[in-house]
Amino acid sequence: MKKLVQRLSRRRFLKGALKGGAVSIGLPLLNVFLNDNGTAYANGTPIPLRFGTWSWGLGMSESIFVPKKTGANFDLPEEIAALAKVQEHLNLYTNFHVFQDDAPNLCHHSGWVVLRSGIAPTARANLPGETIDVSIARHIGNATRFKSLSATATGDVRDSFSYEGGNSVNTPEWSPLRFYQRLFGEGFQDPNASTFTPDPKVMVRQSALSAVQEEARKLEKSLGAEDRARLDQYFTGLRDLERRFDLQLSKPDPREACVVLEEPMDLPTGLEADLVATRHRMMTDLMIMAVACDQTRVFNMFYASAFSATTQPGYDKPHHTATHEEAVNPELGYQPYTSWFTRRAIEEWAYYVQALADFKEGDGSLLDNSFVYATTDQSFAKLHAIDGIPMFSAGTAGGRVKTGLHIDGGGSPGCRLGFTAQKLMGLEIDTWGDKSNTTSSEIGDILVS
Amino acid sequence: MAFCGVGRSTSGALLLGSLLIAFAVQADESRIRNRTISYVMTDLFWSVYQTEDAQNECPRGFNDGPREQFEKLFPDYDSLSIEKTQLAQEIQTWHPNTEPDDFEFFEVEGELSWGLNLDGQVSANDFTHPDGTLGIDNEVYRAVGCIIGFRGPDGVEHIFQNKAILDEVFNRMMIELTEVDSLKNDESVVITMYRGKDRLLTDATGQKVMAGGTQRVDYRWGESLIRRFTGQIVDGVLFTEPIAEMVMPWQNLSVPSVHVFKDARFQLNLSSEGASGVLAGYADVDTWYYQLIRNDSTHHLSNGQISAISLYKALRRLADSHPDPETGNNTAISTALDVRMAQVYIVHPDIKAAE
Repeated sequence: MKKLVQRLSRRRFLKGALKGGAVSIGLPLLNVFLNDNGTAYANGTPIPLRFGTWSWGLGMSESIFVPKKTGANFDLPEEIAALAKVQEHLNLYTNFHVFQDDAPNLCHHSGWVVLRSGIAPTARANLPGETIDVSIARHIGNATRFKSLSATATGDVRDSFSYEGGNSVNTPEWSPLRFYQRLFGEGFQDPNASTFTPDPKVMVRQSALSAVQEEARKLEKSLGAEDRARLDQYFTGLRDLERRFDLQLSKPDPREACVVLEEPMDLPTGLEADLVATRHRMMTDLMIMAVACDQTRVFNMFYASAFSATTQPGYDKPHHTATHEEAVNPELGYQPYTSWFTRRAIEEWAYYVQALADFKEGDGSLLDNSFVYATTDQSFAKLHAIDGIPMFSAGTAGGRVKTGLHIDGGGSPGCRLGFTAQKLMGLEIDTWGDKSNTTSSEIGDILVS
Repeated sequence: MAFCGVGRSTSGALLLGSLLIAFAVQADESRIRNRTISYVMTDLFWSVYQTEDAQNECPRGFNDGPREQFEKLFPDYDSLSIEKTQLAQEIQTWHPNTEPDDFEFFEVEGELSWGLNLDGQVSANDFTHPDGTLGIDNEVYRAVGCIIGFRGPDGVEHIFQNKAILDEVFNRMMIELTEVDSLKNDESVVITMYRGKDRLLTDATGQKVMAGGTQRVDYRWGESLIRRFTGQIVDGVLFTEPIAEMVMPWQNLSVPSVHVFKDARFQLNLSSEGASGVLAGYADVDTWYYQLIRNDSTHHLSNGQISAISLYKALRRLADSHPDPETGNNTAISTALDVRMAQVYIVHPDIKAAE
């Protein structure tokens, strides 16, 4: 309790007061949030389950990435040595395949698209189906202000592995400052504020929306089938907007871990590895707070793109170029510079997992109430290989998942992990994926029986 | 008793052996329909004979690429204009010449090479096939063998060219053998080259092409690619007569182009499931070069340390056939490609089948 009270900064109190309306009296709001054993809120509402994704580019150097040992206490070869501190919180999946069937192997595209959508794309512009985060957000993301949030550490708004459909990519937050403003600027309702005043602007918008919907329903009756389908899609968007307005007009449930951060400094553009790491950590901290404040329950973090152009000071080739141009060192058995980039990515993955694990929530951590699915685009990028593509997961999904394991997929579809994730999030699906990527087989070794 | 038993057993084994041989022969011939069997190209690599450490063929190492040459040419490039540096190099790439440059070009120095004896002669400049055959003509190998981008298994040309065969259709070339009586020995068969219109039949990984697929012939845009020639099958190997000029659609990094091979011929080991061997002939030098730079930007060439500027000079220097009637300079260079094909059923439109 003392901790929570300490988190009530002067700034947050004043901000509540400046919102106008009935404010001023600071009730002791944080002493009754949780039940006695810290597994649910006092009113019985369970701590929400969250789903996250994380992505890195250009795969791995297999000989120094894949542990020799499977199961618990697996060894950490040098390329993933940075995971030592978070090993207990994650699982590593190797020897899982991405199948292209009759589709081409689209360089740096097929791998991630299959793992995120279950379907092999037929062309570079082709984004089939929808990504796993979208499906999950539809199921668990309706009670929050944002159905899902995406952020990238590349500073490039085009970098996203999340899409609703071929023409509807979920653009990520690319600037820490903009991300902060989106999260905690206009429209943010502090869940732990002592008072709540509905935003009059939202009320006006909701009224306008209701009027538009009424008009649209009248219009629908006079349309053909194709136009009705278009209108239905339009309605779906409106309903989502309506839902968000409703949420903004209701007092949010309090969230113990939610603390409004200080507004960050913005960063220069660029892809130098240290700069990307700094941006990644700032975005991670913001994203974690967005989750802790229950602004979203589905979150995507993008460390590097499939054609990762991260650079290393003193080396003339960016990551992607290095994967193709750098020769495999015959003595080492891998590409040293390319591996340097992968190691930096793994360091950031470790940071991400640690940050979630360090964030206390209830009797555990934010990570304990999450399942994070981490993927890449290739296995051996030099050859654009997609067989044996590595994946990670982190978190126990509320105690449903065992961690600290290295799982050998035995050549089975990588989509099994995505399928498992969806089942964990409560989606009622029997199979996931298309053609040879289809699976109805969860990765049972990680599930708590 | 024991003797009789052995006798029956031996007879049984002989009978079983005969049956197996018969089945094998039957299986080998089973995909022949109406004295016709067809194959679709699945792999095509420039034939580059490689030893493990390259010491045999490239004792002085590998050639520099655009990045390495750029650094040597312009050590103070920060103080120079784009026009005098990058653009100057690009201009030379697109308007190449035969004037010597400041870089020593490492040609293959070994004696062995894959390929065929195209001119029927054995001369001092020829290679020897690893099987001992003399007179192998493969000057493209001499030019590209010490450029890492052309070497397997991970050279950029090696990877992308073959990947494009699986991924694209523009380069879907196939051969149809007609008047076939046997895949073992046949004195005369007729071969027709077509371009197909369909994706390859693969296993679930998409990487292994399966026999038994179907291809429709591209009679419209691919009509100019059709070639008909004859050949013979000897001990399961198809030898074709030289084709005066073969146009081979080529695709790399999504850019379509062509190669032109003169006096081209196949030498392929045939089976019911597929064919593998070599396609050899004389490549038109200019077409060869412009295919390379059209398909690969300087960025991509850099991936394989391929200096187009230096390579053009080498190709011209090593060209060994089809002299220009006016200048006397050779316009074509001997070459060989490793070819693999999968058996396929070619479907002709009814009107063409009737013809």
